[in-house]
Amino acid sequence: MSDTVRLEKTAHGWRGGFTAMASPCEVLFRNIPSALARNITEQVAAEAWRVEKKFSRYRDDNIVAAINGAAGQPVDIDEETNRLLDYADSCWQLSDGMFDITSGVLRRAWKFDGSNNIPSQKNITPLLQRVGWRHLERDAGCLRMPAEMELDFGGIGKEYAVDRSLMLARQLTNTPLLVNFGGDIAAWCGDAEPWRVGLEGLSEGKIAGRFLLGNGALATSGDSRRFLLSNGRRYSHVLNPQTGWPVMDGPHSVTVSAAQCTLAGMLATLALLRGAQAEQFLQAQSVRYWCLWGDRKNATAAG
Amino acid sequence: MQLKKKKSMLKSSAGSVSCALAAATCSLLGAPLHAAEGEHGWKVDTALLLYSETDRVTAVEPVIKMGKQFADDSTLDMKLTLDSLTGASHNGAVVSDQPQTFTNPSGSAYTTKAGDVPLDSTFKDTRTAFNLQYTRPWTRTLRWTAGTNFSSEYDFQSFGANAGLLWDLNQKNTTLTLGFSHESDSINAVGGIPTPLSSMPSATSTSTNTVKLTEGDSDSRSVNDILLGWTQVMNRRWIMQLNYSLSNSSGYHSDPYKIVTVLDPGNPIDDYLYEARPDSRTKSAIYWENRYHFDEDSMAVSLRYMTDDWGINSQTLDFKYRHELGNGWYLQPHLRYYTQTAADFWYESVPTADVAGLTEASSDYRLGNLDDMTYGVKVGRKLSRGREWNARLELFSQSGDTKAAEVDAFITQVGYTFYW
Repeated sequence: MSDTVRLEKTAHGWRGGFTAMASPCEVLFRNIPSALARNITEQVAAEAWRVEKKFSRYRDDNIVAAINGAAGQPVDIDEETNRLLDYADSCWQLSDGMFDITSGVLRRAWKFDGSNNIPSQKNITPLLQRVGWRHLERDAGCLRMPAEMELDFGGIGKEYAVDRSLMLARQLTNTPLLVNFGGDIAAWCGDAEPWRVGLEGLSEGKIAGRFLLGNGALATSGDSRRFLLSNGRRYSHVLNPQTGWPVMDGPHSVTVSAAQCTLAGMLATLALLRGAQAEQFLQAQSVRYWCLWGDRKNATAAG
Repeated sequence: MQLKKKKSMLKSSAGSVSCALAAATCSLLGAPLHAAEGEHGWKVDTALLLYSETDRVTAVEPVIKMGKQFADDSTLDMKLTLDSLTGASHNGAVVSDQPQTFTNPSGSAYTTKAGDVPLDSTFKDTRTAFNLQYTRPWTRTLRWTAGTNFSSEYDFQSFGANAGLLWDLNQKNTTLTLGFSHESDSINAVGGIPTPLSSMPSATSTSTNTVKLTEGDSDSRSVNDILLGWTQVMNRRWIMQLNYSLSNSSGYHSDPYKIVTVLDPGNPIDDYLYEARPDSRTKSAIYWENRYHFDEDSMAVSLRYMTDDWGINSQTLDFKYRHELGNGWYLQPHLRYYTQTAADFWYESVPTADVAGLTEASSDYRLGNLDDMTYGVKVGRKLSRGREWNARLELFSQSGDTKAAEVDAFITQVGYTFYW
């Protein structure tokens, strides 16, 4: 985690930049004094770093580490973590158990390094016993998770930080703002001209589309760089927590536009979990979305 | 307890989950933003200042300021200053074409060469000052503030307290301030408080005057101030502040170590008298400050006008321009001009014939006509999490009625700000 904030001039204002959650993060401003832009960027960065520190599964000093290391003992849960657990619960129910924040242990079998190392079922089956949100017991201010299970807020944390950052920044100014943490975006422009946002294509640096974002958010979920290829089949990093196997035949990436980044990100994730039915799912949600299906012809030919 | 399931409420067989998910998102993000943020830490400003007058006083001044904003929007600010002064200061006597001999407060003699400004080189002091200020919201638009300050030197103690009200109007674009403060000072002069206008004892054997007339070891002074303030956000770039203050002090105002020369032109120096200032002073001052933010840079211009019943009128013009160099660096030139007229009882020296009718007299150049210029530059860099370091270099140049008033000084300061 780098702790520096940079501010640079843009054609219409300022761009405050920093690094958090292993992503380049930026806050865009229009028509605002540099000192305020710097101040807001610093506060946004502080919030991003706070969320990262609190909910990263790569640390040994936060609530996630406390839960994962509790070995079946109850752990006191603060109000914010409780809200995230409530949200994870809603997502688990609404997805019929397909979105499960305890599914991270499956990564012990699956290493999505672009290789063809497909694990065998005997490696996957024991891990499945360690997955399942339904095994968790929640009581007021308290969580008990069976030993050997692991919780991971990775599917929610970044989008949550984006939404909170925009809310925080909006308390400090009423000029247009755009918060972008590694492609997950929330923006506000009031009645002013909307922001122009470019969507990244499958190959790096290529723009797949452009559109206007006024007051709302955008989030992308995908596997464009994390997958396995075996016998011409692409194994997505999106794992089905019930089978322990990747969701097959889905889009490489789904981008959704919604009122909040957290909502957009979850809809994108749930769409990916539907595999080939991703677009039908998204159409049923009545949201704007973009699916990148990759080069199917090539995949088919190779098969 | 088993995990509670709300399937019936949430599950949608129609395949659309976006409404239920939107509701869940709203309850996730709906919590007040400050709830999870906790309180801000202490903001700590540290600085070390070096003030160095050519051939006179040198001061080393470390300052530490700490401030904290609490969850209930109240603020606490503290400041600790340590001053260590060494060097020589003008004793009040005229520059003479003859060598002069004086007695310092502890009774020993020192000599000033012909043509030199008479400086008492025993000047040495350490000052400790502490300020504490607490401000707290009272109603939606009113805040109250209260504070205390304490300052101590080996021959001077001061204790003060203040209280005030801040009234936010016009969607916080206007703030009106009303403040009162009281300060009690006690002066414990080395060698006693000299009788005003009594002769300085001479340490030389030829003189007949060897006794210092005193009026006790200590004296006191009290100061009462009232402040009226108006801060106005003119537009999103411009903030203006207008303050009026009225100050009344009564008690001992003289400097127990300063003297006035009794001299008839063309003759040798006749005598040195301890100075005598009035026992009260009423000052009023108007201060007008404007801060303007450009896209990147900012500027502050302030004017101050002060007048008192001693006959001193002063004007201060202060100008700062902060130029952002990018990447957190800034450069801030500073110009300050100060001018004052002399007090009615200021004399470079007093003729012998006038001594009998004299009730008030001082030769302290700080009460004479003065013109000061300060040229400064500050360079700093803002770092993440509110941290900043800065360095300041200023050149101060003063002129007045006499050679004693000609003071040049260098001010250097390094500072570091962080959150703790």
